[in-house]
Amino acid sequence: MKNIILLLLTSFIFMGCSFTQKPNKWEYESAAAFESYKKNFLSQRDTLAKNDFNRAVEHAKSGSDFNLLATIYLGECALNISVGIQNKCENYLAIKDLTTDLSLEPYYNFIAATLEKEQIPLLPAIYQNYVWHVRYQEYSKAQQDIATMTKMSSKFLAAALMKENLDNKMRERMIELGSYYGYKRVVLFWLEESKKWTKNKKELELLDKKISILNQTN
Amino acid sequence: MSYNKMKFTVGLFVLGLLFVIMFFFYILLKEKGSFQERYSFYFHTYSAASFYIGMPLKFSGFNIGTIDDIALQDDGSVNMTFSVNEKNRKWISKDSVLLLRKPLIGAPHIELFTALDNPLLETNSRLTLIMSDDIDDMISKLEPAIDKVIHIINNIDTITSYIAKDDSELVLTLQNIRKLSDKLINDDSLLTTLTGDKKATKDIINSLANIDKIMKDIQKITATLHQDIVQPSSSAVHELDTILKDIKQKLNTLDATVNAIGGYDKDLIHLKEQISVGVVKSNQIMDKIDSFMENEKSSEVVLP
Repeated sequence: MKNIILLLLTSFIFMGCSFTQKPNKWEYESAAAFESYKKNFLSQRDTLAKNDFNRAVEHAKSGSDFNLLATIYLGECALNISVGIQNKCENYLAIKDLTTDLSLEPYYNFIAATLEKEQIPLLPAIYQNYVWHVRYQEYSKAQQDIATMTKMSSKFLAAALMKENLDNKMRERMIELGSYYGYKRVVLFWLEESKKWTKNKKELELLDKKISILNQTN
Repeated sequence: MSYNKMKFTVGLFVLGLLFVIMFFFYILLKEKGSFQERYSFYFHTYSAASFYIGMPLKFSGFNIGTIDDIALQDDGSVNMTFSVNEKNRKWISKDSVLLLRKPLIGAPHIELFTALDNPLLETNSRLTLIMSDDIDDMISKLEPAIDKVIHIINNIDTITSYIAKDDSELVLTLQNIRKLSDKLINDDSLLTTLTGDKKATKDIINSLANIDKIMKDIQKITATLHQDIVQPSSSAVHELDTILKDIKQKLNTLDATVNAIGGYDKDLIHLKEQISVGVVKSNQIMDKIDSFMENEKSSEVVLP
């Protein structure tokens, strides 16, 4: 047994020594930085999020990949919209004529609520059913689509895009999910939304109290 | 290789490694001077403010010792003990003086001034400490100038409030002058004099008599002015001149300080560059951590 462990450790050391850097390391680093940005942004850790975002952009620029850069800008825009922050995707619009990825424009139109029927097939598969249901104003089915989405950020984005047509149960679900994942920004957004749709005075007071406590720095 | 032989080899390797580590620490501590004998001295001060344990003692810009202990005495004074190693023992001689420097820029430190020809001071002896506070010095130098400026402002205030009074001589004089000019304007006697009217001539003579009276009044007033206003004003102006010269001298001294501060620009640029490098390096580390924490196999940015 000892010999096996020794052998394993030695082989790990040799494996570590034999690692070579991939030439497109920037692509991996950009993707990793953007993933980290998504989490930090939704968790309202703004300093970290800003650093992550800058690194993701920096890596994309170092590879001169405008499709990747545009994807990052679109992703930033979508995340903002998913937590109720108005964003016109100016960064993306400024460079969209340099992109060749055909799926970016439909995605932009999707988050900007200007999606054409012909563009729907070009959207990510996760949104296909949802978009059709929203288009035909079948909001309860669209909510079911949101519930079945596996990616949390997609859930939040889809819910935010039809926030006026959600029921209170779904809003509560969003708060629960945001809370479970530690996404403070999501929780605050959906608490504010819940306030708009609550008429009960006591509930309103409780919502206000929750928002106020969460907004306190210490 | 048999099992026992392997165990022996591994044991030998571990022992060897331990020995190397211990030897390394010994060399490290030796180089740091931990095994050198230290010589302690002390000095007294009225306050421990600006002092701290480990505070450097400098001689000709070099660190030669540190403060080891700070203790409050029963009489309220503070006893500071510092020590130097054997190599730097030679700088502590009789009549050596310590100077606490609190510069405008930089941390406070203690400087040693020594008389090299004097015999060495015995260990655990007391040294004299002198304080030098650049900030306090500057403030104390500026204080008299500020006091004088305030004095001048007070004088000017007194003068202006005196002039502004309705019953002041100056105001009365001006009123008299106005009356006179009014008379000249309203009365057409001057005109009739020019035309050769006797009545007008008489009037002018009367006016001249009045003017004489007015002149006397003015003379009287100006005499008072000389004593009450002109003299203090002149004194204040003279004082102002002295103060301005003093301020100019101090500004010249400050100019040298400002030039010296300007010299730090290059250091700041260098420091900024170093910080930038630090930030880039930390970003690289964060990239590695992200790659490790996130799914590093994915090279695609996934949209929400």
